[in-house]
Order: sequence, then structure tokens, then C-alpha cells
Amino acid sequence: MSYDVTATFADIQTDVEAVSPIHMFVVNASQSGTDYQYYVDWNHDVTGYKLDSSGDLLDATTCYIGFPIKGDVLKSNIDGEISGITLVIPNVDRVMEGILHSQEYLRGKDIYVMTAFARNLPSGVGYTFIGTTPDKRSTIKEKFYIDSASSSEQAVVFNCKSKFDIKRAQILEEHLVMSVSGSITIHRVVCKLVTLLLTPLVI
Amino acid sequence: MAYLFPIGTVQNNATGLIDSVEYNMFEPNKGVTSKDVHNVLVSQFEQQSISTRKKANPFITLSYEYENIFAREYNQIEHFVNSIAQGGLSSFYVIDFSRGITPSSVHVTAGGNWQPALSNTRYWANTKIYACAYTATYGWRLAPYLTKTANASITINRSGVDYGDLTSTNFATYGKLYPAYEAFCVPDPIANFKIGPHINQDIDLTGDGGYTRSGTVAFVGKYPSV
Repeated sequence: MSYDVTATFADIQTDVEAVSPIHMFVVNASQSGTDYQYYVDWNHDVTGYKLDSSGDLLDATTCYIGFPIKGDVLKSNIDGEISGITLVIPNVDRVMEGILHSQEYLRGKDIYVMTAFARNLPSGVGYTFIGTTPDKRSTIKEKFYIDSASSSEQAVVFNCKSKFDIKRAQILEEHLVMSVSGSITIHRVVCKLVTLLLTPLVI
Repeated sequence: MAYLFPIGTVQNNATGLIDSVEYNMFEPNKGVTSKDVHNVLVSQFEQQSISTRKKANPFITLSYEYENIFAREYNQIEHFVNSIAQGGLSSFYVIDFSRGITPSSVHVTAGGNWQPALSNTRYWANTKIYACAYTATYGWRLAPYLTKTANASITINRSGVDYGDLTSTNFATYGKLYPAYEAFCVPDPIANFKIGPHINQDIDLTGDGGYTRSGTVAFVGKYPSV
């Protein structure tokens, strides 16, 4: 379910001091259901909001593991397309690599990229609680899909695309002609015939 | 099990073990400096800050400074760095001797916990920071910090993980309370030690013989300090 980001976010965004933006990444490490891995780009573990199976933020809290995660800035180009992002997660104890191997490189699985202000995270006792005025709807959330993944001793790199790019995947012409779908094959044959017929006229 | 610099695995008799060798506590004779490091992204116009963004929580750096310590003391530090800290690989507790506070009184709760009365409790910002009640003569005690009443008192957990032999009476009379941080030493921390005059006495765990050394051991905190 979608939600409107609360006005709190917009208010803090315009502040020029005492602001602490924080970036969180949630990887769904399951092919069949949900097995969220919560990460945060921070110098220690941070308590944040849980996600339900639909990817909506809950009031319940969970621990986001603090890592120096590198993620690209979200951009959109002049055509209105959202560019893909690259996410680099340290391969500590090869945990992430283990998930990749057991889950078919997580191809097509979702990654949530969330931006919030530290003060709007859950508050409580303990060093992982860095929030003071909890407000789960002061979180900007973008959903991406894992297009490819690679791993090394140091890091696991995910190339992520927005859902629009995944849906616009190009199909090779050979596959198209060999397709059992007669309508597409006929359509392409007709197109070629029209092209052949028109070519002499143009010359 | 807790490791404390520079004695190793702390025992209840206020000594420490490193590879089954028993060591005693000694303070850095030239002092301790510590500071909280803040990660703030500052946008500047000319010399002026026009906007600030906090990038991470503050963490602490500590520096133990030694001048002409005995060879047995240097050997103890070297043993600790190699076996416990593993040159910066593993974390341990470091007492910040630059942040001592003398409690005006020490209350012992019904459950046995200590509640030293402090006029400023800001050093105990989170429960990852331990408290060390320390005296030069009557031993010390290292225990987790539990809760606090801001700028009045903190509660030290004596019923769980708790090390040392200092009594509450001696703490109240002679002791000071120091924060103890879980920290790493920086890689290759004792390379800066310089050799000093030679003392012609026995060189062993109690003798003062051998070359004296001077230098600094630097540490970096593992958890937020503020």
C-alpha cells in the first residue's frame, strides 16, 4: 500500500543545520516468500522499522546491521526513466555470498532503498536507538529489483533496476520468429513484406 | 569473559591473564587523552558554514601515553597487543583515565548494585559503555552500566558480569569512577615506542630491569561514545 510521506520529512529536509539523513537498504533474500536482510549505512547497528510481506513499513522494530554500504544516487533522465542503481554490501563472513549461492543470485528479487532522518527512527533504550521522534511515514522508500549480482572476497555488488526497466526487457529477434505466438510471427512477416514492397517506390 | 587493557582476561582478584601469565594493572604514567570524533558533513561558503549534515554517530579515540616504563611493563603491553588485541583485530575494554569523576557517595541497592552519586553522568551515554571504579591502592572493579538518573547517579550492575576486588566502602572513600570503552587498538600500535636508559636489575614479571621505553598506544572505540 502506498503512503504519503508526512510533512515532517519535508520540514526537516529544508533545515540547514542539525540534520542527520540516513540510508537503509532491505534485501529480500528469498525466492519464494520474504526473508528480509536489513542493512543501514551507519557506523553501528541501528533499530529501524520492520517491513511486512508486501514491503510496507510496520510499527514493529528490527535491527538494521550497520555497514559501509555504497549505493548510487537515485536519478531520472530526460525521458522520465529511473536509472538503475548499484549497491555494494561488504561480504563479511561471506554471509551475503552464501545467500546469493543458495537463492539463484536473487535475480528479480526486490531491494528497498529507504531514506529517512535519524530523528524519525524508533526511540528507546540502548545504543541502537538513534531516533527521538518516531515517525515511520517520514521515510522515502524506493523499490528496485536485482538484475544481476557479483561477489568477491571484499563485497557483493548488486545491479538493480527499477521495475519499469525489468518489464521493458528486450527479446531477441530469433526468439520472436521462433515464438509459438503466430500473431507476432505474422506481424513481423507482414512488416518485412511491406518494407520490401515500399523500398522500390522510395528509390 | 572480558578483556581489559593492559592486563588481559580479567580475573575477580583484579589481575589479568594473557596466555596463562598473570599481570597486574598499571596506569599510563604520562597520561591519557581521549576525544569524541564527530562525522559532520559541512557545506562551506568562503570560511563560513552554511549547512551541516550528520553522517554517523560520534565515536571515541583514546591515547595511552607512557614515558620510561619498565621493560616488564612494555613486555606486558607487547604481550597484550599480540595475543589479545592481535594487532588491532580484536576488541577489548579500555579505561578512559582522562574522564574520572569522584562520587560524592556510593549507595548499594538491595540487589547489590552500586549507585555512585555523580554530578555529571554524561559519559555513560549508552549501555555499551562500562564503568570502572578505580583506586590506586585498593584495587578496582569493572562492571556494566545499567541505568542513570541524569546528573545525579548511575547504576552499576554487580549481579551479572562483574570483575575486580574493590569493595563499596573503599570505592566510596578512595575511588574514582571512569568510563570504560570497548575499543580496538590501531594496527601496529607499539611501533612508535622508543628505547630509554637500561636498568641493571632482574628482568622478569616483578623485576624492574631491562631497557625502559616511551611511547603511545592509540585506540579507536567500537560503539558510539555519545
